[in-house]
Amino acid sequence: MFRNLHSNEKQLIQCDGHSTIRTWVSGSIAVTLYMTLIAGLISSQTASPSLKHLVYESLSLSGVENPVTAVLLNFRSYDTLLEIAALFSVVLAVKACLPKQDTAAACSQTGISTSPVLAHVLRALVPLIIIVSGYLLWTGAYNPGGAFQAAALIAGAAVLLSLSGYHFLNNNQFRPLLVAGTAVFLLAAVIVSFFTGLILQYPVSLAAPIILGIEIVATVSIAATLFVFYSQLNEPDHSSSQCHREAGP
Amino acid sequence: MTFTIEVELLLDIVLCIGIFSLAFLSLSTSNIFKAVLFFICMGLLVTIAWARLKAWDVAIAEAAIGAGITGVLLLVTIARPRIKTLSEEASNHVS
Amino acid sequence: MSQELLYSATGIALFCLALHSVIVAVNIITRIIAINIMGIGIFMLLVAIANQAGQQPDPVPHAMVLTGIVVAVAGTALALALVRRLQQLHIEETSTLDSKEKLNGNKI
Repeated sequence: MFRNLHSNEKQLIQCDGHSTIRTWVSGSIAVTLYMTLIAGLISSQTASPSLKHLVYESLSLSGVENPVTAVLLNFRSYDTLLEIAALFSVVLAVKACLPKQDTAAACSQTGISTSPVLAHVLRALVPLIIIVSGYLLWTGAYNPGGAFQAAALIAGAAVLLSLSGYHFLNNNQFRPLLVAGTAVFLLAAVIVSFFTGLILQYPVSLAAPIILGIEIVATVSIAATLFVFYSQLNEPDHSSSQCHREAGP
Repeated sequence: MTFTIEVELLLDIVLCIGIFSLAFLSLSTSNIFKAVLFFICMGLLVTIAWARLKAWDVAIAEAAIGAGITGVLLLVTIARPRIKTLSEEASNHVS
Repeated sequence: MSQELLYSATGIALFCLALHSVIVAVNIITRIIAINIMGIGIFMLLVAIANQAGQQPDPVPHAMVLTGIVVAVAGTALALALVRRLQQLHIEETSTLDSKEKLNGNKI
């Protein structure tokens, strides 16, 4: 990746040219906005009523002990469901925006570093990353942690593996992983409504296993989504001359 | 008007000055590689700021997602073979 | 000067600086970075308000900021995918035509 980086160049896609008036107007707007907001901040120093007490009172009913996880996956689980659905729609848009290449697998990576140092380090590092991310996922119920952090770790490990040239899944095999998070969350939301009458209203005795199950599938799905963002952006250009250039050692 | 500044607040002041100056440098330099690197460094300082504000989950998420994944995506986008400008292609056709 | 006031002021300053940069910047990647910094500024304001002195922090803004970080990275990924598409189509300049060279040579 860093072989193609030309660090002394500006990006060749430019927006509108320099305009002094626009700079001054926008600068004055920014400074005025800053002064206004700071004045509002200083003048309203009273503590606003928050939902903190409600959260800490109902924490025992939520099935987890970490208040942030309880808020994310039990009290405000509708927001998390919509967030995972938003991630899913963005990955659809990214895949639609960058069409896949029909070239052979040898051309499908640009700028791979074939250094043996990376491969040997990854042999020790990737199992460690998987264990740490599994720990973060499990301990999200008791300590700071959770599904998003574990998913980001797995995505980082996947990016490292992809940089060292190791393709582990086809593009088509990613699709069930991408869909699974949204689908399982929706299914859980609808199924619990048959037992308690409201969508996303978990029964109190089953709250902890439901949350853990949703978190596991969401972790896999978010990690796959983040990795698909990376690999779609890493596709080479259409020109075949670049493909032949990069197929060297 | 007198300020009383505790010792712990000095760390916060230094952090905030660092975050703001890294943001300013990232947005004002014309070399985009430097801009992306300053943004990644700012992400790491922001992680320490979340830890100072007792937001531990947000700190882990910002370190992994905010600085890590966003930095990787930005670097992948700017690491492209150089597109020839129109004048260079014209001179290549001439020569 | 409390910790909450300091971090709120920094968050608002980041937001205003990045807003100015979004309007003014020439480079498209700088605009994307500026939008991210706007998001970080707002998150800092939210978390600073959530942190009352001495007591346990308020978890609701923490959850909002977590959701916000993930949605911000998704938005950045979509913006960068569009930039990549522009690069692939060899669209070099989208600036206004104000020089003879661009008028003569502006063929895609």
